[in-house]
Amino acid sequence: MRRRVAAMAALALAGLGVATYLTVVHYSGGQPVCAVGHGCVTVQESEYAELAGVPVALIGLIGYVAILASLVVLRGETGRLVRVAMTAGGFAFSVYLTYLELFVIDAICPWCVGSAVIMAALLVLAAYDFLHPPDEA
Amino acid sequence: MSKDSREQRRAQARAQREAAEREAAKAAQRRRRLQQLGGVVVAAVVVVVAVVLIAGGGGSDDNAATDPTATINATAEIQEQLDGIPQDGFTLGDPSAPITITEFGDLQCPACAHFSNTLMPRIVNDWVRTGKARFQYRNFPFIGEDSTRLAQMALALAEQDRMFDFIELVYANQGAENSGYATDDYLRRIAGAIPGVDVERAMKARESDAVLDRLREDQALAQSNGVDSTPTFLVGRSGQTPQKVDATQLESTLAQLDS
Repeated sequence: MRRRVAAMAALALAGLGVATYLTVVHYSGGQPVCAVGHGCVTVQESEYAELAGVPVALIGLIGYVAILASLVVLRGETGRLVRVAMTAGGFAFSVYLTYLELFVIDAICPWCVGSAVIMAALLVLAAYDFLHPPDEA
Repeated sequence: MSKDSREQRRAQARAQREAAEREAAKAAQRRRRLQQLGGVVVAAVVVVVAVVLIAGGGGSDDNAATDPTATINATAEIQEQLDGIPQDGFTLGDPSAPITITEFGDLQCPACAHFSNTLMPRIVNDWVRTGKARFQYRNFPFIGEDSTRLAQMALALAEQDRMFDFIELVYANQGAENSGYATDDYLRRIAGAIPGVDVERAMKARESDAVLDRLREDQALAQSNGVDSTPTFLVGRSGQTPQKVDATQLESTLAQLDS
C-alpha cells in the first residue's frame, strides 16, 4: 500500500519543481520579454502574480513542500485527512488562478496549468487514500 | 430434527447476523468518511476563498487604468527621474553621447513596464544623465488595439518633447492587456499629469501624417532588425553596428562598450 504514497510524493515533487522554477523566474525577473504566443511572462508580470505581496509561485512552492512533508511526517488517519485538506485548498487556489488566466489576464501559462493538473491529481489520490485507507490494523 | 442440526442452524444464523452487522458498520464508516471528506474539502475551499477575498486578489483599486478617479501613480518619481535631461522627439539625453541605446517597446507590454519600473531609473542615472549614452524609444505596438492608441499618443507627445514622461507614466499606470483601457480619458489623464503639456494639441496630433509616418518608420526599423519581442534593445557606439540585446543583458553590454 505504499504505492499511493509514492505516487503522491512523485506528483508533489513534480509540482515542487514547477513552483520552484516559477518562483526563481519571478524573483530574478529573468527574460522579461513580451513575445507573441508567450503567455507565461504576461501571467507572471500581471498584478495577479502576487497575493498580498507574496508571489503565487512561492505560495505554490510552500504548498508542495507542505504536502511532501506530510507524506513523510504524518502517518495514519491524521495524515490522510490533512492531505485532503491541503490538496483541496491547493486545488481551489489553482482553479481561481486558472480562471484569472482564462478570463481576466487573457493569457495561459503552461507551467501554471501543469501545476493545476498536478494539484488536481493529488486531490484525487488524497481523497482515494482517505476513503479507502490501507488495511487498518 | 436432531439437536446437532438445530445448533448448526443457530450458528449459521449468528454468523449471518454478524456478517450483516459488519457490513452495516463498514457502510456507516464509509458514510462517515465521505462526510468527513466533504467537510474538509468545503472547509479548505472556504479558507482559500476567504484568503483570496481578503488579500484582494490583486485588486487594482488605485490604478488609473481601471479607475477614472484614481490618481496617476509615480508622477513625482518620474519627474525627478527625467528632470533636467534634454528630450528631443524620441531621444532622451545628450544627442552627441557616444553610445546609443534604442528600446523597442509596446506600451501595453508588461515586461516593458517591468523594465521601466526596475532597470530604467538606473540606466537613466548611470548612463543618460552622465552623458555616456542617449536613449531612444521606438514604438513596436503588436499586442493589440490599446498598444497602437498608446503608441500614437506617445508619438504625438514626442512633438512636444515630452514622450519619455508619457512612456514612463504609462508603464507605471499600465492596465490589463487588451482590456480597452487606453481610452481618450486615460490618455488625457496621463498626459495631463505631465507639466507643460498641451494635452488637446497632442490628442489632435495622434492621427496626423507626421505621427502615422513615424509609427510606420518605427515598425519598419523593428522589422529590419528582426525584433520579435519587447523590450528589445539595440546598443552601440556611434558609427558601429549595434548589438541586439534583451533587458537582462543591457547593463553588461553597456559596461563592455564603455570599457
